Amino acid sequence: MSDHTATASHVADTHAQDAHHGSLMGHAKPYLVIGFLLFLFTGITVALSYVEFDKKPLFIWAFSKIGVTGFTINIVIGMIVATFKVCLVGAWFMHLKQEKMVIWRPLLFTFFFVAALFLLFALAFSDPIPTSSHWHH
Amino acid sequence: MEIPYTVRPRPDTGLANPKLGIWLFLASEVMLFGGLFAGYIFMRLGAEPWMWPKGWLNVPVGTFNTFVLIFSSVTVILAWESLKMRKLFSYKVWLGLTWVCGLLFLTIKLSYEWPAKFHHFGAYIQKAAKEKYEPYLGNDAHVENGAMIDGHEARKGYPRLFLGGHLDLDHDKYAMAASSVQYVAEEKLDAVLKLGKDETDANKKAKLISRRDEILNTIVIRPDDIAELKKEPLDPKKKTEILHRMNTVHMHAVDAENAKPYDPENDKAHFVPRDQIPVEHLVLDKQDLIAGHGPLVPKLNTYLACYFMITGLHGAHVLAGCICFIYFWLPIKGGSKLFYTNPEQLLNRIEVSGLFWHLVDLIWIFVFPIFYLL
Repeated sequence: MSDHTATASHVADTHAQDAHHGSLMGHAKPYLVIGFLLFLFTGITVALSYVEFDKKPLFIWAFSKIGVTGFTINIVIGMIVATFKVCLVGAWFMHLKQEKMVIWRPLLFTFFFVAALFLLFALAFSDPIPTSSHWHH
Repeated sequence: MEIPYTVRPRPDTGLANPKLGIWLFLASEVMLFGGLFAGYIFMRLGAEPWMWPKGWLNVPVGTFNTFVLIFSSVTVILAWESLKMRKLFSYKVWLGLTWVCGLLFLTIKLSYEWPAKFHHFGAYIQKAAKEKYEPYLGNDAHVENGAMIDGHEARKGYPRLFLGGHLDLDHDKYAMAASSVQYVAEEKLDAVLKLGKDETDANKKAKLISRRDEILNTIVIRPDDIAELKKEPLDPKKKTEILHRMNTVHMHAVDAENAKPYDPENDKAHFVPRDQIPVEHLVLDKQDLIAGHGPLVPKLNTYLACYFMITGLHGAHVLAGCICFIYFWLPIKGGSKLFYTNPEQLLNRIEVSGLFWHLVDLIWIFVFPIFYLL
């Protein structure tokens, strides 16, 4: 199944030579650090979900600026932490940090369309015709 | 046919084909789950203030599963690094740990988390009948006190209508199955029992009788009740008894928020799930319940529909990842034996499946807070 085994094994050998230096744990150190951070932030996510942000004046004030009130403050904060964790996984575990533009290009489109998807749903909450709003029965 | 550029980079893209391929696939996966999440969040935010279930999932178990999945994401990277360093034994250890973690995740989900839902009963009370169950719903006190639920003032227009707990399963092994059967009026049962009774044509009679049995099997759960109903002549006392059994739900314990509906603890999130509280024979009349009552399965409400759909789809991804890893781990031609013939290709396979595995992890990072915590 391989293409040109000779070339492949040549590539393999150079790769192997590069990698042979140092121990596995030495190479894996950044991944272990990221793994630890992910553990830590999972704990933080759980802890934050029990904080009543809608009763803390500073958070009420700050989030009211973007029109977020009540328990939705917790949802937004939870999503921010989750997005941070996802960035860690993407950048280090999936090596997006040093990835080629060929891969980044379709991904940028994906991010754009996913964001558009969320924004389209958000539009449903700003009903321009007050009498038709589903909030008032 | 030989697949080109499985190892060497293609000159025009600068990448080996599998890598570009998996990234395009992952991009489509992001769109798929993005749509599901957007839909879920839309419904979560649009729900009436205190109608959205909270605290239905076991947070400690969910947290443990999150750790398992993150740990497996680290081990798959270590397997890949080991392979890069041509350490076969180390590769097998780390990859083995990866799929064991994947299977552990699935086992917890399928043998504990999901079944816990199937053994829990839930029902929404019809607005017209809410007074009858007031001691368990506690709407009046909330309205009188001007209680705040999720930061919204409790209003008469949006009463708390959910009643959850456990059925008296020890006494009736058919209780859970019967609980999800909807209300059956006496006239309907009579009409069903009449099917084929006065038919003279033997052929038609047989058809109608089989139709009758088919319907009875769906509306009556206990086999002895079915046998009793088929008896001729039918004892009217027995019929009333069976009808009552079909049309009532006998609860044995209720959820903490129904047991003490005025307790401010109900409006807080709890890390450790609260126990159900035993009740003295609480009987729900199915006529008072909104259709869909029964075990906590997708048809009960939007939350459960989303929960089972998204965690089920995610679980299918975990399973797919495990199958790939087991294949690459076993000493077979396409698996770890490839190490001796074309190690670079094996390395590519682990990189590509590892990327998929990280996406599975990444999706869970969103699933966990939105379903378990928020």
